[in-house]
Amino acid sequence: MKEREKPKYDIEPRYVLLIMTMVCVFMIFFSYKFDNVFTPIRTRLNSFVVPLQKGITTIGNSINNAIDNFEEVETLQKEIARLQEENGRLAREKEEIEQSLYDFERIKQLLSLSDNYKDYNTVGANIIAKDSSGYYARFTLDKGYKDGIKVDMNVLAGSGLVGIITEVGSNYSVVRSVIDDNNYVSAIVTKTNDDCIVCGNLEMLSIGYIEIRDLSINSEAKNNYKVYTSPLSEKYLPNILIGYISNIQSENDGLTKNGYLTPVVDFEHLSTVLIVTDLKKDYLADDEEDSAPIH
Amino acid sequence: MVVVAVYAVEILIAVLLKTTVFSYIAYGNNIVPDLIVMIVVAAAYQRGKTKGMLVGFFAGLVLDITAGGLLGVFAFFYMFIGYLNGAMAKYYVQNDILLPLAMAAGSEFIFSFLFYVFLFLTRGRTNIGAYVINQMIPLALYTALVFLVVYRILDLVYWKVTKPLYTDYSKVE
Repeated sequence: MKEREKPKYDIEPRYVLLIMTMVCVFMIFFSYKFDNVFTPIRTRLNSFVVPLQKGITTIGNSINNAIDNFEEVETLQKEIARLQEENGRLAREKEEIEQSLYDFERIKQLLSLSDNYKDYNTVGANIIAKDSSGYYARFTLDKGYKDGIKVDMNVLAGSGLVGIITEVGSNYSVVRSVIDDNNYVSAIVTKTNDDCIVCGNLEMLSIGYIEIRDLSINSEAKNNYKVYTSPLSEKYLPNILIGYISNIQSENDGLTKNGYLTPVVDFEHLSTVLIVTDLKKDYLADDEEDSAPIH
Repeated sequence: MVVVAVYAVEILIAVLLKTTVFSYIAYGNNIVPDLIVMIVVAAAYQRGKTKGMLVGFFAGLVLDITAGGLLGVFAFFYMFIGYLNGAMAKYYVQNDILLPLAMAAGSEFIFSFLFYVFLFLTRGRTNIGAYVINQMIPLALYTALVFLVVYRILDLVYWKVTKPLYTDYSKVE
């Protein structure tokens, strides 16, 4: 080979850094301001990456399963998967029944008859990739708009809330989970009926908790009280279990309380989830037709 | 062209592994060794600032696209990492592991520090000590540990595939 030629355009690295930083800032600004400009490019590239991720995850899962269940035959594993899914559904149903019982009690007290609870339609999906930075808590599912998935659909696992869909491609969708540091859910505490906000918090996540805050200072919420998604939420369907209160303390400002919440979903070992195909906004529209919502 | 293809394949493999099967070897909830930083550090150490920056930029862009956040965030961070590490290119020696190891650990720390400052501190997460102890240091150490193995492979690829394409061996001692 010939000797390496000096490039024709020899630019100082620091100028390259400057120019490319400007390109990055420009891209960040544009993707923030005009999200839909980049969406087609992004979905196209992702459609190429997703099958590869799916393949590797499938292989990884099967190797993992092989190690875990050395002596188990394949049919048995299928049976277990089916039973787990069924178990998740049943647990969810149990929660729903408990919640509707509680609702019933409350409604009896109020002498008003408003049925807050509806059956949700769900679709199962597999997690094929997890966000890699260690700072986000997002993951990719193997169902996309071809399967009828839309942005803002809620995602459940077993009996609890996993997160919400933020991006949909033809054959994949991205979920931002409730433990993501940038995720906020408006929620309600059982028994005391206090409104609050549940948000992911990376600091607390390392000890297995997420944050609950903006509870009223007069709230009598105690440990192990259940926290559900609030009917006031714009995107989350009501009455989905998020977790259990673990520790409540008063905030320094003397106006609110905050504390720790143990999420009901085991995010570390999550591999399959249920996507609720009912959207909150449709649900709200239905509600308005039926009767004025009671808050 | 071949060089670009080699780096493209490396980046693709890194992103795929990191987003899928690496969750099996995660430490705690979310500490996964950062293969992208390893590739960027190796590229910058072997080939200098400009090329390190380019590799970092495109690797970050691929991550941005698959991760689904703001486009350009990872690209900027990894590009910056590439630039910093490029300054060490003049000390490049084949088979040296200590210097690149220190570079990888430092780079991962700087990367997660930048991430914290730009995406967490700006939202009022001010408890920096907790992030350093629970996030940045474990990430840096875990990345350095895996880097021991990965750097051998990357250096081998560099010497066997990339380097012969543009080196005049008559000038190599």
